[in-house]
Amino acid sequence: MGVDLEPVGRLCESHVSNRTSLVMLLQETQDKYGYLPREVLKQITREIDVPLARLYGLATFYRSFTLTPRGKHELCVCTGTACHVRGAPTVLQHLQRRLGVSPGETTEDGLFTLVTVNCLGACALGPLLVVDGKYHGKITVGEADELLSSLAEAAQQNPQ
Amino acid sequence: MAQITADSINITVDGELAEAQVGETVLTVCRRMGKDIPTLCHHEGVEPYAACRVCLVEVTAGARQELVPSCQYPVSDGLVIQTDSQAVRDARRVVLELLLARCPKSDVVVDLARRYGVTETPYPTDDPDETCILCGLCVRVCEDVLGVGAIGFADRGIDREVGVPFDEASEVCIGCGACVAVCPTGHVCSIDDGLVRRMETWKTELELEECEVCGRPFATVKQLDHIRGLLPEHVPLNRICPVCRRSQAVQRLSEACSIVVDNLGATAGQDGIENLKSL
Ligand code: SF4
Ligand code: FES
Ligand code: FES
Repeated sequence: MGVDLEPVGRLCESHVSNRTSLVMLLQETQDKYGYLPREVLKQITREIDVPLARLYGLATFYRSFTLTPRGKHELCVCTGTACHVRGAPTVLQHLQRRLGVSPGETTEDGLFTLVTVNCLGACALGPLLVVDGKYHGKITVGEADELLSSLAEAAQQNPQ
Repeated sequence: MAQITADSINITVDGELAEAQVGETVLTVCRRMGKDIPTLCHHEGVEPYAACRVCLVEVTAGARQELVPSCQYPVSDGLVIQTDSQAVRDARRVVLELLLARCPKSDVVVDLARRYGVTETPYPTDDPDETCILCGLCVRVCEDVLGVGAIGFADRGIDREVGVPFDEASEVCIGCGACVAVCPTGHVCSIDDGLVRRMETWKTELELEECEVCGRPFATVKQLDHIRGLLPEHVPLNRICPVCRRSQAVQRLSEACSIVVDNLGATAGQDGIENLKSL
């Protein structure tokens, strides 16, 4: 399960020379790896002399960081107040049942990660489902199902 | 009593006029006056953090009146402080109810709560065996004072906890036990077992070193190496336990004394001889 530690040096260098915050460094690291691998965090502490405990604290404090690999596709259900009253719980429950995961988890085949968020500021479009960054407003259970099926199909035809 | 210097200011504590120095905290001044203010997350060797809130006092500066954590609040000229008003006692009681809900079995919390008449709490308890109040003293002493940073806060909200990253043995913990010493509730514990020190709370084991003189294991190898690294190179570090170090010091002292006594005797003798000769 070796992780390529090559890019860490460059990430740390730009963090130090641009005096960016640790959170930014972690964001860039997550962009690079898709998540924050343990070995990478340990490598960062070696490069920039920051205690691992501090990095771990940040990585577990912010919801946008994850210490485990994400699925190929991210399904994000808004459970903010507006989306909630417009039916988000039904959509979320359906996705949970269909995928067999709880929010924050990834399906066993590594295809989908299900997450929730509290309001994306597009309440008029609620209930909102965001698939890989693309907003799907006024989503219904049926539409969500179709989206899921087409992604799963595409993955089957084009496995990596 | 504080020395009166250019930086001296006047404050009032429970109606009593007092002298304070710019830069001091309300807690420091009040304690110097003998005021009884409880603290949990405060330690003199560590920067204030104001996490536990049991040290709340009431301050009035100008027209503003508020409850502030005395461990962190700096004194200013003319500040009026109440350390035991009804508002203070009420506020501390709420804080203690919350702490009691979190750590219902912690002796320290239970005793302090009882002192304020709090024996039960209206708030729900999550884990009845919890003994950590998340005051962060251990984290702060480890990172800020020792420069090690083996432990930290993880997660947030109701999941917030103190621990080692990834919940696995720390590679950097030196097993010095400073966290054990500062923890107000006794949540942090370590056990010395033969040549191993087990930092139980941090899931980390460290090798102990035997005293060069008596052979008793007394400090971890990493701890001594850490101290070695902090000392200037020309200063030798004897890997000797405190007991032997003390008896060596006593030994050296008594040797020094006997030399002095001998010298005195010799001088007296010399003088005596001189005296005899002059007769
Ligand atoms: S373990 Fe002790 S010192 Fe550390 S945060 Fe908890 S109560 Fe405070
Ligand atoms: S509640 Fe979903 S976008 Fe605001
Ligand atoms: S001692 Fe002041 S807030 Fe804890």
